[in-house]
Amino acid sequence: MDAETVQLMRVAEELLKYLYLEGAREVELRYEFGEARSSCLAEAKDLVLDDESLAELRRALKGPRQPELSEYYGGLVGKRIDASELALASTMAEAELIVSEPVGGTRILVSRRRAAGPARGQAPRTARKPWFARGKPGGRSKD
Amino acid sequence: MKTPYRFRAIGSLPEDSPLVDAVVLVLPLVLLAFGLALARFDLREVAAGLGSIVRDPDILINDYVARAGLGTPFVNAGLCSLAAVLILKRSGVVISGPAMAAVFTIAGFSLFGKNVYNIWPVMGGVWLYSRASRRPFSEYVIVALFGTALAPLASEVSFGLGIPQPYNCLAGVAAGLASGFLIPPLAKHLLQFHQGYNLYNIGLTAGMVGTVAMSIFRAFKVGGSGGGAWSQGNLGVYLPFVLALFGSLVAAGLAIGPRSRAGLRGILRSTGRLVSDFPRSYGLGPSLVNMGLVGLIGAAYILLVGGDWNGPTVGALLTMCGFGAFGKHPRNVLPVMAGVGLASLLTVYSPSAEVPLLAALFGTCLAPVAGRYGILAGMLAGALHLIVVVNVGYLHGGLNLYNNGFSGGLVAGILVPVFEAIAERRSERGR
Repeated sequence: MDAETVQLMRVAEELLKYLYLEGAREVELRYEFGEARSSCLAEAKDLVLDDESLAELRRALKGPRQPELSEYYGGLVGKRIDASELALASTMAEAELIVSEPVGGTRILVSRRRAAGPARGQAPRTARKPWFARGKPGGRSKD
Repeated sequence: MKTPYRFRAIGSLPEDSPLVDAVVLVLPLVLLAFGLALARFDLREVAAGLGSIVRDPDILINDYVARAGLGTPFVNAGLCSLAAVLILKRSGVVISGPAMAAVFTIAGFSLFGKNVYNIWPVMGGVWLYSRASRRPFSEYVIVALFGTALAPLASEVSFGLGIPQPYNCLAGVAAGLASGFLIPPLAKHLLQFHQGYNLYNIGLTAGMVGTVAMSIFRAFKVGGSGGGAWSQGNLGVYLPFVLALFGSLVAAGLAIGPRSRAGLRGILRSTGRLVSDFPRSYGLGPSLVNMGLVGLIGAAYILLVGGDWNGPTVGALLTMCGFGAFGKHPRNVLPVMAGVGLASLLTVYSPSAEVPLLAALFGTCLAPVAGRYGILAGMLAGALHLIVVVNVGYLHGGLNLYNNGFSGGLVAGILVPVFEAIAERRSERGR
């Protein structure tokens, strides 16, 4: 799995933790993995946030992207302890949609752009592994 | 029962950004001015002092004040921290709590181990790693700055192994590059060991790398020179400086955010666990007030135990102050410091001796333990830290400047799973 996908899954786990701790008992996570952008929708139909909680959630997910933090500290996001890491999660993904209403419950959509995605109209390039992660050309596998 | 999700509050970093930039730029200029004033603006003396600082192997504890006089170490600190600020700006990253902590840490350790020569190879190694892994250097810039904990390795290989010139410098740079290359992946991995409860995570990483490097030296019976420099009797020079510096931070914080009591209350309520970016979460004003207070607490501790005022202790105060923007606050540092102080009274260590004194100041890397699990847990962590830190230095032989971060990582890695298990059980019973 590539690093971008792992980071998005961590953000999704943080959203899951948030929704659970806020009282949701049925949470759906839906992913979409694209060439240039991947996204995750976290949906809790049985949870309606009050105005204050919703505003707090929006503020938490609004912060500027900080790749220098998300690359290094991103591993702490999504851990199953009660500490909040949504602010750190916001440095890893962009919040596209945050709604909470009596019909439909709470929905949070986050997405993450690939760091070196192909330009629009170009065929996607196959991601090359860094040199130290590649095997010897023509080398035989041990198994 | 519903357990509310504990948010970290969100401040106004984008609006505060120019002010944050100004704060990190002012520090190097203040250090340069103070250093030059102490050297009576004698540039020859400063140049000679810098030469001596660069050529001396930097095995812990190498107090630059003892080696090069009162002023030159501060010129070195000003130059190194200015380089850090320029690298951050060139990388285009948002300067917030972690970056502020990194700049203050580089400034502090440039009084006893980092210098204008030895910080570059390690940062170069991190840059090489970013190239090799095909990621922008800006993603690793914080790791690169903190990674200069291993700067003494370049100095030791260059000037401590007896390699003839010019091969000594080439070998030193190569050793620094190799260590820097290892730091980013290891640092990320080791973060999981203590779950963010050791604020000096690079100290744990550098301790591991330094241990391997020193083991190689010992296998060939080379290295291990330097260290043992510790000056005394500079209270009249350095105390007014640190009081003015930390007092100015408090005043500036109050001037920026005169109604920032809520922000400061939020900081004091936070656990401090990584990543606690106070300027981003609570705004710059309360963060500056907190930084000044944390620095003043450190200064008060040195006065209380009658410790020395020199490069290492002033460096520790600058580091504490920097981490006032990134996890430390009075409520979570005091229990750890009390734990170190009490343990030094109960054991064979004197609270004013070199290592226990630095353990009390740098041991505040364990502040998040007190912030999350309470005063007694913080004191226990502090006490255990003192007992461990006096022993782990042997492993890396002083090559890792963040020896307390190494010990703090081990202590947090041992205590946190136990505390967390107890907290979980208590939480289950409460339901």
